[in-house]
Amino acid sequence: MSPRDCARLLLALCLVCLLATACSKSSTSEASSESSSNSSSSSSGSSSGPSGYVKDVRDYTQQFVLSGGDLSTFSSGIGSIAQKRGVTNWEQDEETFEGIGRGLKQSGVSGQRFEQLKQRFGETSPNASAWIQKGYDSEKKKD
Amino acid sequence: MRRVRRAGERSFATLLLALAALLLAPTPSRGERFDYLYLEANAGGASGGHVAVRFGDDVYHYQNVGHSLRLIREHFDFFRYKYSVLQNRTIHASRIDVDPETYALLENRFNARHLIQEAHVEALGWRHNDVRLLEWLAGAEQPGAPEPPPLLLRGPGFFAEAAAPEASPLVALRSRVVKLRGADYLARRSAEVEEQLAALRPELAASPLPKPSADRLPLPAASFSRRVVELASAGQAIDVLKRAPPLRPGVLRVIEGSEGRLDAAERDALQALAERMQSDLTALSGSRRPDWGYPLLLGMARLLAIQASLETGQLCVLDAFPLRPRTLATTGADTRALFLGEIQEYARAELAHARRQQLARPGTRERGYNQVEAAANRYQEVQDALGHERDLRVYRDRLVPYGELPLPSEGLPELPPSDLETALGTARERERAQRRALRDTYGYGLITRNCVSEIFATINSAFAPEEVASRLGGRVETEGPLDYIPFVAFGRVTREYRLSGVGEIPSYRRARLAEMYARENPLQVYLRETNTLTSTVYRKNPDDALFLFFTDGTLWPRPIFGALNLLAGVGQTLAGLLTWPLDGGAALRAGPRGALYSLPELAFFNIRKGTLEYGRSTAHRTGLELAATPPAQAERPER
Repeated sequence: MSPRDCARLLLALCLVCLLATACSKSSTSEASSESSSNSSSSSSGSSSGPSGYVKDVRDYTQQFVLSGGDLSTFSSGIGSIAQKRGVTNWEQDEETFEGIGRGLKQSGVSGQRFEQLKQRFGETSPNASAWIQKGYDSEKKKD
Repeated sequence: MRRVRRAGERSFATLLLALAALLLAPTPSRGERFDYLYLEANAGGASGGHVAVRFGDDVYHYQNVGHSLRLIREHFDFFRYKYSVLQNRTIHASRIDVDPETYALLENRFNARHLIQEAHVEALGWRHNDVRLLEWLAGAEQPGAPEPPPLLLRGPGFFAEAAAPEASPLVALRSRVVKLRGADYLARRSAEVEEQLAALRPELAASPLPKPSADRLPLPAASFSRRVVELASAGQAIDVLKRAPPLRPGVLRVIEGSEGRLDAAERDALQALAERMQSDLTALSGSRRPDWGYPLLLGMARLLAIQASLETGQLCVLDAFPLRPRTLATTGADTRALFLGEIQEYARAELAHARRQQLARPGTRERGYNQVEAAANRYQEVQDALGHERDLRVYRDRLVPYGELPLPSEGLPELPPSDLETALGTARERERAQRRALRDTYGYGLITRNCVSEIFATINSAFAPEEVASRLGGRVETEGPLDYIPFVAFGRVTREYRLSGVGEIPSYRRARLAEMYARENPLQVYLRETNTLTSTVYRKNPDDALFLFFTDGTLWPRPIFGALNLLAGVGQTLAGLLTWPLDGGAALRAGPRGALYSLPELAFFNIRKGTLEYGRSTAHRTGLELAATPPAQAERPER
């Protein structure tokens, strides 16, 4: 094998090394990193604005409305998101409804449709309608 | 000369830390800034490097998990520790200036995609559970059938099963429920749940699945196993409310000593929370949400934990670690002992912070209480591991007590064998189809669809095509064959986007070396730390293949070091042939890997940097603390 061929082979092997496992989950034992929490699930997001949990509920609600989902299945999705943030009884939680209000605003729901949804969600908690309205009013619509 | 060099190195180290602190710290500005992160390569996980974007505390990155690209969201501090400390990789950051609307649109785009993907994964998980449950039902009558069913119920594991004196908080809750909903309410609801569970039927014919999309939330599909679990949990919740049992032995964790002692204000806060929970749980007992059983069981168990706290004056919480946790051995290597001492201090600070934030005054709600609960669990876990020399349980996500027990086999739907067989075939086909569809949607391609291409695809899809350049200062596409390589893409970001700065967080080894060069004889440091045998920064990690010399940070000796590393890899391979019967082929597998990563070093190219099993994060954080919000302070105060 000529020196040139050797160089080519070496380069090819280098490229294999370089690319073979790009973006992969490392085989390195990461258990020690788990001795403290990945507190993404409890993070506050940016220094101003809603908490990480409210953002999750907002964005989920927005996507749910855009996907044309039926309200009867909405609570299953919210339940999963809430639980990851440490909330299980979300029907009595102000931040959840604030997030729903924000998500409705984000998805462009307004007028009579918004009032209907607010009333529907409001059946779960006496304060839910007010909390939804608060979230709706505090969210800026982004196009 | 030596003094000049040392001063120069000290200046370099200071400059490095100052750069990181200045450029990576979340700083107030009139606009907003997000970071594009490029992580240098290392052997193992990402030989070509890796990329991510950071919005505030949250980092998003695409990771190849089983040939699918998963959009992972992690707290920046966790991410930084994992990559720059454990994986020993330098993180480069480009900070991009954007207006608040652009920032919000980008963050929303990444978060929405993450939530959509999580929903897809969860739906697939329930499809898989459908198959497991139907397989169990189909084989339940046969001899040797596994017992119990293969699914877990959340909640019933908190409570004692045997007859025991009634627990007063649950008696009070039961009275409130009965008063509000009628004396026969629990019996009626129990019968209703039993009837629904027995009448539950799986799908017999598979209707076509809608094609999944990374940008469209999947509509929650009917899942037989999910509904079984929900109804069984509801049945258990009613049963517990009827019986009002105490907690099961071993479920409660008492935080002993001064760290767990409650002051008057904290007792008042817990008392107020318990009263509030009584009201909230009464409302929950009448909820029509399908998954109300587990929240009610958890709430009732927490009432008992709070009662124990108030009676003893010490903080008592439910054990929140999952049934089958990952564990870390806590005896043996020195590094582990050092590591445990460090996380003990960290956990202590985190618990104190959570208590100050959540229990200093009345008004705490469930999420705030869970913050205390999780911090107390992590703290007590380290205490127990140190005190009893047992393994340390670890869990990366938010700790929420599950109280899991296997799904009871009583009361499950009884189906004719022919229906079961048909339903099982349908469920298997459903799972296969969904898995295939998700692979098509999220499939990984080495140079067509990887962590780089998906980051830019997500960024660009947040705006109308004609707006991208004006919002970001430029547009980055991954069309060329080299654009998919992380460091090439990083160069394009620095050229194309509107940057307010660039910076880096040095890898653990680099940061430690900078400190050593600043205070010790540089030649001694070089000779000692260049090789893996005498290095004090690096301890042999079982995940690393054998190598002798570090080649990052040295250019001209690199081919020589590479050749010696290659010899070490070959030697390990040959030795592996002999030790195969003893180590199960571990050395034989590692040797070629070590040799392979030595080849680029012969051509002046470095990939391998060594990884760590444990790393002292506080030492590494010195001077870089501003680069991340410590997790203990990341929680927004509960309202």
